Amino acid sequence: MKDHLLTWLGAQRSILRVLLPLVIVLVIGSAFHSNGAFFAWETHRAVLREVSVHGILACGMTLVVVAGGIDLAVGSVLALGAVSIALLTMQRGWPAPLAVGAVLAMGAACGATSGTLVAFFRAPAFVASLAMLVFARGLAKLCADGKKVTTHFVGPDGLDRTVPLPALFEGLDDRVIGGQLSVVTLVFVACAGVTWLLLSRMRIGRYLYATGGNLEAARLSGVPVRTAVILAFVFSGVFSAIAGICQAAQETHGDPETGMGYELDAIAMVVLGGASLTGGRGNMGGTLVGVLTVGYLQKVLSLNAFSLEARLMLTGAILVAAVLLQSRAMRGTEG
Amino acid sequence: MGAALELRSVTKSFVSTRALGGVDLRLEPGEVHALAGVNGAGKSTLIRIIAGALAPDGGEVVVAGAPVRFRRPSDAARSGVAVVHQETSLVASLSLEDALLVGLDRGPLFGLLRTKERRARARRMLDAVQLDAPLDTPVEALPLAVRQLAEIGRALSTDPRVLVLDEPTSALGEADSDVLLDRVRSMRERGVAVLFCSHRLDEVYRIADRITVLRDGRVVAADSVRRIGRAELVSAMLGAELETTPPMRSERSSTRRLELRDVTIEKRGSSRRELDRVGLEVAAGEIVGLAAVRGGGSEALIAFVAGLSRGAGAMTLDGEPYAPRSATEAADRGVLFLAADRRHSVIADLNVRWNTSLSALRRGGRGRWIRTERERREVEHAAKRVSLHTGGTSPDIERSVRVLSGGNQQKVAFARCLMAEPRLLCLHEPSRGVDVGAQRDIHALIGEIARAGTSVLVASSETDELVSICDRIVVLAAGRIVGAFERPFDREALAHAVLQTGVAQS
Ligand SMILES: Nc1ncnc2c1ncn2[C@@H]1O[C@H](COP(=O)(O)OP(=O)(O)OP(=O)(O)O)[C@@H](O)[C@H]1O
Ligand SMILES: [Mg+2]
Repeated sequence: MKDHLLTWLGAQRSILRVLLPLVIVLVIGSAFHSNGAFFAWETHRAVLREVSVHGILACGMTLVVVAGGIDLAVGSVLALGAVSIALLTMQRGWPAPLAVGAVLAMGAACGATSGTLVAFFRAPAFVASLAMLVFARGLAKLCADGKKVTTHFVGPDGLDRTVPLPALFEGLDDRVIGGQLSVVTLVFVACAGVTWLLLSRMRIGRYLYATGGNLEAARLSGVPVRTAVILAFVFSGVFSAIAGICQAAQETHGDPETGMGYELDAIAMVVLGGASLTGGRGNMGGTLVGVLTVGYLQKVLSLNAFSLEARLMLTGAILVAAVLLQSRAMRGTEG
Repeated sequence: MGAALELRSVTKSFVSTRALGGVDLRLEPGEVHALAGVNGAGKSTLIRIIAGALAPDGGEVVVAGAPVRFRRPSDAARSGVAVVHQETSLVASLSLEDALLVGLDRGPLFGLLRTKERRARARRMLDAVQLDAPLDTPVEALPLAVRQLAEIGRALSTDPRVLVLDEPTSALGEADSDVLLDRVRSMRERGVAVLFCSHRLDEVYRIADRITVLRDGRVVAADSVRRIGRAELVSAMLGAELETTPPMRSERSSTRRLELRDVTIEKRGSSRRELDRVGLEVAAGEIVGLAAVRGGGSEALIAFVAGLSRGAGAMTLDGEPYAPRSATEAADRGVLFLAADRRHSVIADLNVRWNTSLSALRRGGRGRWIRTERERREVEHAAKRVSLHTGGTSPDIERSVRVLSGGNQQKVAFARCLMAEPRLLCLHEPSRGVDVGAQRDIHALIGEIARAGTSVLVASSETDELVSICDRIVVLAAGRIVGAFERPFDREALAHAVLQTGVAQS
């Protein structure tokens, strides 16, 4: 009986390892609950709402990291997405489905570019996506003319105009299920579902793991490694564009400066979720836990009135601690 | 005289496997001590413990009378214990010279490198095994046999008192193995104690003084080599008799599967050619062996057929033009490649199931969804066919390949090829590092899939292996086909042809 339990625990070790930081954060949150605020449902809903945009980025990042790459451009592509959806729907008056389609295609194009650079021109993913980071940010500023894109703008006839906020924006920032969940959170859940399907249920997932695990062996086994890498980046680009649309909806405008540094949050979430930056390891379940860990950490710190500066420093320190904890535990299993 | 190295009831367990259950072993100065056992018996675990790469759970390692506990490989080297592990460990991206000298080149951190001295030292390492390899070439561009030899050369040149070799000849041809065995003999004469682990029993009988047999992590036999007969050794290893069934061959089909015409590959930066106007036909269901000394062109030929390299000339597959630009394209046409180097044939981070099904995923008739139940069934079937052993009583296909023994990793790679049901299978050292029993199984399986219609191209450094499985053997030298042998093979003439052309070439 005891043996059984031990074996079972051994098998669950990787899951426990990922859950531990989240549990610690939750325990700290319950201890320092700032007069019960931590136990209010609004707090949890807020965490989910605040974490959703990052979470969507983390989905794409999981795919890229599993394939052995890294996508630094997600924050910039998010900004580009936010600016373009605002431009198209508010100022150009495009119907929402068309505008969304165009923005997703733009995200896919950004991803395909980084992916092609990596797969065919053997650029390191770091460099290729760094170039895309700079490029997409520049493009976002260019499109937005360096300003936020809002419902107040100067029309082509030179007159000031104000249009009502497009229904898409209101719809996305709405709440559903009796006001308990934000629509953006549902979008995140859908993205996570798609990522899970890709990684765990579809052939492409196997190819991503194989490519990230051992590029040469995967290639020699007949795995289409280039296609796999490009697709991972394309998905990451599309998810970033989706995140951009959600971000614009939450901010009610398209800000070319938005999403700065989000790539680092996404990477942190994925790594906390047990993925290995050398590739071949990671999964959507883990990333989900990573997303919640970061989200709750932020919440607990802000509930306890830490200043922004202190929060940043503490987040950094806690992330390092969590990752060290995991790699320590990992070495244990390898004997 | 005291033992050069002694193990006293060493035990080691992994999460759910007991790899060693109290092993005693004495290594005398001036003896070659063979370590035998089937795949997963615990040989490499024992050797990793000696090297300090693993800590034993219990028991002790005694070197020259004093218990030691090496914390890292350089500790072992300092005590005069040199270890060559089963998988080559030279840093792939470095030049051969730098890779050989990693960790040996001591001195102040900001001291200048003594280029000449370094080169001479690296050269001495290669000379120790009579290897003439380019020192500036990156390790990853060198054939496996060269890497393996170079690493052995490095171990020899540290002037050890105890030399431990884990399957040193698994990728070496006869000529290279002979050189190695000669060197081992001269080490023995100088009083070095050698622990020699190999699945090639011929070598064991040629060189060993004593044999220790491990089974399931325990010593089941230990005696002088003269007192253990071959059959006895095998049954001690397996715990059962080895049934030998003569390979069953079918009538040769007349359908042509693969045809090569005038295939030529230029060698970069050299006037010699890797392949020189090679023409070859392979019938459906035929097993064709490629025999050559190192660098003779057998590797280059199967790599070309499998889409890994580009060259001039034409190929047809089942009558249609065939010019794969990558392994993926080749796989889509039903041509699969099995690399000799395990790091290129299995993905250590992934589990057995994922590794085994990897090449089959693209097979026709499968959608884009993974059907786990069907996959599990198929993988379990393939694992059973190759008699995979993952450490427990029945094979656990969810286990990470990293923790399997070397021979069992090879079986996973072979199972992957089986499950993909290829039209043409290109094998490089198909039974590298697998034990006698499993080697027989793999040979039988090759015959089985050939009878089912798959054509097989095999490049092997072991002539005996080719003789026992092939319908036809083609001898290559300097990139050219210089001879062809048909069943029944004249073993002597064949070996002679291979060696003779090899000599003529160098
Ligand atoms: N890190 C590990 N974690 C778990 N199990 C392990 C690990 N390393 C080895 N094992 C298990 O220990 C057993 C002995 O393995 P070992 O590598 O010593 O075999 P071996 O005798 O060298 O076999 P081979 O001839 O195939 O090289 C095997 O069952 C293997 O699966
Ligand atoms: Mg071994």
